[in-house]
Amino acid sequence: MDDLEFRRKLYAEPYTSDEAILGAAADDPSKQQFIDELKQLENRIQSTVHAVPVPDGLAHKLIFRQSIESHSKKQRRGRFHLALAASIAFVAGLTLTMVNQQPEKSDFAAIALGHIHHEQEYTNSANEHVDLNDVNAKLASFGGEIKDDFSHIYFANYCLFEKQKSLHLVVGGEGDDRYTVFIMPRGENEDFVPSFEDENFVGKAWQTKDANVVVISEKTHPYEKGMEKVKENLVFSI
Amino acid sequence: MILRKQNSSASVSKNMADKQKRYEALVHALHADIYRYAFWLVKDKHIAEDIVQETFLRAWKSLDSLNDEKAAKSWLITILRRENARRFERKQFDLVDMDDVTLTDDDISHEGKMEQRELRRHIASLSEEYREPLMLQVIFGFSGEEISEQLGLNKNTVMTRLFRARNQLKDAIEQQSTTVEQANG
Repeated sequence: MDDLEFRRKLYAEPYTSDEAILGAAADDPSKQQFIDELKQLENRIQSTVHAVPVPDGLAHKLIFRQSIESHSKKQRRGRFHLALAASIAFVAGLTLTMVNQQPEKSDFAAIALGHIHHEQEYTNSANEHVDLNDVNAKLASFGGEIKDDFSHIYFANYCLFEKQKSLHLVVGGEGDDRYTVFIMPRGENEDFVPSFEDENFVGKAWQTKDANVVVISEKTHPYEKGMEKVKENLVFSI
Repeated sequence: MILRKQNSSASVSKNMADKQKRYEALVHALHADIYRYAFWLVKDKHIAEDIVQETFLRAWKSLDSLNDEKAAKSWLITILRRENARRFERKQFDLVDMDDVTLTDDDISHEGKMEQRELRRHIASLSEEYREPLMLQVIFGFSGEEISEQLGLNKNTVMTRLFRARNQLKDAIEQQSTTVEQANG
């Protein structure tokens, strides 16, 4: 090993355990002296580097800061959960509202039944002897017309179905049978139901271009034929 | 279901406690060396402390990825070097010139012998490519191979840099004592 390599190796690693270096130094006092000098320098470097004071309480700060970080993370997670709960509550509320509104908004069958229950007492007793021409004038706005006269037209008036101007007719069938007819503008997103019923009433519906036409009868008498006749008697041009 | 939930949350909190223990052990064992390394890297005690805080915070967050405690040292050094590089990206325009820092700052403490103060100045004046491998060797006792792994350098390059680092320090010390002798004479 030449002198340069010997020095280079020692400078790179003063406390080397390289046998070749240590062996070379053992045979050469000047080399051993060089090693000793370098070790001295190294000790000075070591103590200088390590003399840098570590800030007081750094370890505690590091642990403390981490615990704050974890804690605030937990809090953030808490806030996230709160936000999630709020969102769920909001969506649930929205859904409930929509579900609650849906029958009124788009289920015209339910609207019709509700309406008929509400006005049953009045319309059952009403007898306005409505003139056919008057009824047809009203029907014209829906593009409809009564072809053959009913045995009787008890009632023909506009009413509001969900803020939509609709026509409410009560017409006579066989004997004292009464049929209620609703003609209401078609709404958006409504579920069309061709037939429906509840405990007391049965309904049949069909659609024209712009309107839903519903015929409702009490279940207290045979209604099939009578309802069919009502449908045939109502002619819609559009 | 409820039972299982309780068990899993108990094991989660046990994991957290274990993690906390590991973290604290890591802090106690290595914070001083890591701080000193940071200090010699940036030569400013405040910046060094900031970097060390960031380093340990990141270490905490990814502590699960540390499988071998023996590798903790080089793992932390890697995080710290990355943090330092980030700092450089962020603040590359308002960095103080290194020589100003080393000569005027009280970070290079005035305590201790004058001799040591001078050596501090010399070490701080080494260029980073020499200073960094030297600090890895002096502070952490890394071998040439470990340094080359840590810095992603060829081992011969590392040995050459270590040689030059000490050579420059020795020259600086000798030059200084010559100057002092001349001044005295």
